[in-house]
Amino acid sequence: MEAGPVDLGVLAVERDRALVVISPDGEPAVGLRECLDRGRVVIKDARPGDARTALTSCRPWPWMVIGAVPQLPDGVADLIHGHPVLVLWLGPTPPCLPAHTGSFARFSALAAATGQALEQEVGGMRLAPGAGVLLPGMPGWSRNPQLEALISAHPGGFDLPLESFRSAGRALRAHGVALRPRRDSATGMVSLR
Amino acid sequence: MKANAEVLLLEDDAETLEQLRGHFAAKGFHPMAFRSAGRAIGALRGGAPAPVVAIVDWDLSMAPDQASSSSDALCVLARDLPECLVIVYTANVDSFRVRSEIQRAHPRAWLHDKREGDGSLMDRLDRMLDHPVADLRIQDGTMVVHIPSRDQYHHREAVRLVLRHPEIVTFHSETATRAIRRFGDWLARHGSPAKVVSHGNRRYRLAVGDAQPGAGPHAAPR
Repeated sequence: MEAGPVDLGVLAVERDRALVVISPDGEPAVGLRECLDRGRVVIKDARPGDARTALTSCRPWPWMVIGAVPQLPDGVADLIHGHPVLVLWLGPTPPCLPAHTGSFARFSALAAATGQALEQEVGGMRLAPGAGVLLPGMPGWSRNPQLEALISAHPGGFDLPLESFRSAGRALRAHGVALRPRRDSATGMVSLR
Repeated sequence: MKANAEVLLLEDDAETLEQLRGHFAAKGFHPMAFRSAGRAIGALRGGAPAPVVAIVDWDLSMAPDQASSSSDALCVLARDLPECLVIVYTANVDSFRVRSEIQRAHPRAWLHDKREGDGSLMDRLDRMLDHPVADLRIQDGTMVVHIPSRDQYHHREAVRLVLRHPEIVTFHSETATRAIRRFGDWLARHGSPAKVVSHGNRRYRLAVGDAQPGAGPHAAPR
């Protein structure tokens, strides 16, 4: 059988927790791979030209997007504005990024923030290996990407409508967790409180 | 099912390929050995059994045909066989460019430094294969053994799940997922602290200490 054409693995559909790193040369993605627990997150090393495809390959959406480019690639802004996606940027930040974007001058600080987001624990909840959330005192796990995002961003939040987190609120109520997604009247951000 | 789990070996050097083949055969696995990426891709796309492990040499400059690259083979493994654990070995492991190319071809691939010698790769493979998970270990490439009772569970998909612990593994057939569910029942009957956890869409992982028997996703409120 002929080998035939092949498409890059980084653009294949990914249903586990995914971190898309957009850079011109792959250096930040390679560095992050060295310092993050890869049982907890899949790192997708994207170039500006394939960033949109890399983002849409993450189902339902990427857990985090890290950029190290001065301009936002075409078609990326609507994807990261429409969902609770953690956004971190290394170096100059392009316009059009969400207000909840974390900006970093040094790679080491960015890597530490990424590791912290993966290991974050809020009200006894933490990210399960691979995907989902482990709940306090409960067997199993909850598959809820909104809740994953809120836990990882804690105590920060998202510049998104409160309605974007309806499913997370219902999951918290269903499992007897006192925290809820709430909008901070001063910052306008939605966070777990 | 009692069948030796397959291991894909892609190495252009005939002598090293033979060493790897012998090593895995001695461990009870069924080696599928190729000197060129094109042949390996052809076999994978031609319906060969899904290997549990793939060992891929990044530099295939001595391969008998150069129609496809190691990157092509990694892309096929990432897209068509994400359940396969992939180890790429290269002498250029310090190069950001090479690492990035490997990562873009297969985001989950593990890396091994070829400069440490073939013995180092085999030591690593042995540690991986012999490493117990809770009260379980892989034996002879065909079975998972419950160490306290010495009972055996024979199925390559169970071998795969133990080998990949604690990662989530996506299985691609109903036969495979049935085998994994039966493996979960078998673990529960043996009182093992290891549990099979379903993540939906034929995705499972072996959990130790963070899940109860039969635990799956909580009903997602809509």
